[in-house]
Amino acid sequence: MGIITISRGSYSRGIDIAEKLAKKLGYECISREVLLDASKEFNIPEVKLIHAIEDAPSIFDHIKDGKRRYVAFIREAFLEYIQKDNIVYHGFAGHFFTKDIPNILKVRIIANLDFRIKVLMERENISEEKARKLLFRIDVERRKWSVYLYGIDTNTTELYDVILHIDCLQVDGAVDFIYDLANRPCFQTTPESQKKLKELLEAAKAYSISSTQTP
Amino acid sequence: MGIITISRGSYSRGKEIAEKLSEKLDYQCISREILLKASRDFNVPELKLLQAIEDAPTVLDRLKHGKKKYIAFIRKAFLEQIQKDNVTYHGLAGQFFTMGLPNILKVRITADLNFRINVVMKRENVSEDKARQILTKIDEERTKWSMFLYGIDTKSPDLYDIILHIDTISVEDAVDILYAYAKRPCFQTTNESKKKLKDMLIAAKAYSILVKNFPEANIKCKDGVVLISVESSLSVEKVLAKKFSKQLKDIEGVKEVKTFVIPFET
Repeated sequence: MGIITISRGSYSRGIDIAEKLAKKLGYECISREVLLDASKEFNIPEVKLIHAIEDAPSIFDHIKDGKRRYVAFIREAFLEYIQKDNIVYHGFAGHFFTKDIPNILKVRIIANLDFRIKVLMERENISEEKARKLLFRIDVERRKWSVYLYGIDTNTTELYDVILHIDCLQVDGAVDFIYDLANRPCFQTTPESQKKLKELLEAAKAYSISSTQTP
Repeated sequence: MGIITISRGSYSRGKEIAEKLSEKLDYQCISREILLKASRDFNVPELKLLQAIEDAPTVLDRLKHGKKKYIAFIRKAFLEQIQKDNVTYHGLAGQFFTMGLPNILKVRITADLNFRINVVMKRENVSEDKARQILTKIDEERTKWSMFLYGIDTKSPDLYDIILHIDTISVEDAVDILYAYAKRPCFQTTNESKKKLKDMLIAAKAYSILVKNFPEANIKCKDGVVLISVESSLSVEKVLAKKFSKQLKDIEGVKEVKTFVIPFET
């Protein structure tokens, strides 16, 4: 019984790892479902929610504080979802949302820039130069939003229990490794961690309500 | 058979992990031995070497390349030591000294700042504020040091195969995890990785000889052929080539020395 969050550098095969890991553990693998849930509840188009956390804050958002509110909704949906336990979450901000909860395994997957460029070139059918530029932009954007929203750089190593470089390990090696880690006693859900998770959800709900009322 | 480098945030229990891991793997665990060896080999006081590898560069270092010289000595001693294989090195700069070498497991151990503060308070018998100051200073020095010499922050995840945060993961867990990791085929020494390490050592020995007069020299070695590129006047190319060949001919494994002069005016 446990919860795993996987943060991934873009184009670092993090999705493959999350999906295979979830299957091996018999856990549910989630990412966009969380956004969809938030979308239904708050009537915000999914695409807008994705933008809320993928794009770095613009001047407009600083004035309106819009992104902050959207992220509050996503946080709530995320925390609601993972109450079920036995979850592998991959994608945005999972490690931020759960940083004070013990027993949740927080993983980051990274890969060499050359490897990521290759993946992007193949996937998007673009030139090496274009892929390099695009990756650079994505990395900058992601770092900006996390600093803006949480005051933390996604590259800060202290946010994770483990950071894996998959060059040598490859996808299957990474899955085996995280599987072993996830089965350790320190990453099993306990009544205490469940209680903390519940409290965090209550706080997130309260914050969501207040953020819809406060302009 | 393998080589492991463990970089550790100060007061993050990395030393303990390195020692326990070495015992489990039956590897030799080394750290300070490198400085002692460099100190003996080059007849330099250990304290000077320690300052070179620990402290951020001063203005004088930038101008006189003193730090580069001492680091070259330490690097040579380090590469010589790890040739033996089945080694765990914990301490500063291992991840930089082995840059470009395949099959070496590069690990970083980190811990929460609060945890580290507690350790400093107990170990040094200081207040929380003082402990925080000490740690901030150490971390800043490390960053400045690595940025100056290698252009990348020592904390950067890109430098390592795995980073473990000691908090929920205990020291015992970390040892188990790293043990399994070190046994993976990709972290076993191969003939190819041995050859590369040998070439790297030859280049490091060559640089430690030339660093005094040519701190900016770029030296590589492939299959025993030493390639040196230095910035100088083209008119002295032949003289330099002859001089370098003479200076480096006694290094074990050197087959040939090739010198390339990059003219000052380019």
